[in-house]
Amino acid sequence: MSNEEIIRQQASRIIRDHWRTASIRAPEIRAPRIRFPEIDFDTPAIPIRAPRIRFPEIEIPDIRTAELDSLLPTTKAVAETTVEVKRHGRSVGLAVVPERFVRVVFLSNVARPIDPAHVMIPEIGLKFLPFIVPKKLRDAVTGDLTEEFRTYAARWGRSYALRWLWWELARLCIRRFGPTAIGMGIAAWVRQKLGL
Amino acid sequence: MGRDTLGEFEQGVLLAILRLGPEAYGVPIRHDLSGRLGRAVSVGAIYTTLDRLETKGFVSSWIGGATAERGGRAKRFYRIEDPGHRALDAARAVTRSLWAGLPEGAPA
Repeated sequence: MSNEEIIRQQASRIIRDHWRTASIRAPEIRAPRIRFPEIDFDTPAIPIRAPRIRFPEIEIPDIRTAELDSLLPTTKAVAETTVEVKRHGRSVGLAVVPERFVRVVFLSNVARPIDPAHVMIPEIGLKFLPFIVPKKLRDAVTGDLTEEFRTYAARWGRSYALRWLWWELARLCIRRFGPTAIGMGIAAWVRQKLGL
Repeated sequence: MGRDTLGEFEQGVLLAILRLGPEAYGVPIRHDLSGRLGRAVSVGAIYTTLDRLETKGFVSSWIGGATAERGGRAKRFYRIEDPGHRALDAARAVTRSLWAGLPEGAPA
């Protein structure tokens, strides 16, 4: 196997095993040697509502598609891997991915991949469901939320899954009561608190 | 929407059920629709639509077995019934007739 093929495999492994989780999830990745004009990540089915990723040099406001397999190494350096970053199939720049960076990413503030079986959905979130979902559908909706919560937690970390869960519950509330009723309820509560 | 006509989202849900076959329950239906519509679809939107379609008689549902990955909650599977098939056929015929006379690939 040639040196280039080894590097190619190495980069693919880094990207598949680590970046999918790490770079999408990480709110603050310290990677001074990485310079991306733009990056595209892709999930097959679900558009990512990713938190912004802040690199020291540049802020990437929006992440939509992921052609992770298109990030291929282009140099023969062994200590670090240079990958080509593509957006919509067009090359937009090179990124240097040192091996040590991948290890750093998996420390403290970045979620590691989690075993879905060990993820617990917050019970308090599910306690709202009897008020907003008809009894007939309650079990199915609760099961779906649990299943997806575990999947997201395993793929993108617990905090992302929590944000998704609360967002879904809020949308269920709006669907059940309507925005006007919710607004009137909040207004009444504020009036009561202010003694008006 | 009238009782026998389908909205765009309802069509999408029915077609997703058709594609998924016996594995059609909330989660895969939502993923299928999200992928095809190119936007996130909420759990509430799916179940509201499924409930409405069931009331219209277009789909029927049954409870599957409970699984550990769902916290011991059962899945509710859906299947298209004859009125649902007829409504889909009618919707397709309407779409075809609206596009009739325009060349393939004509700008929309």
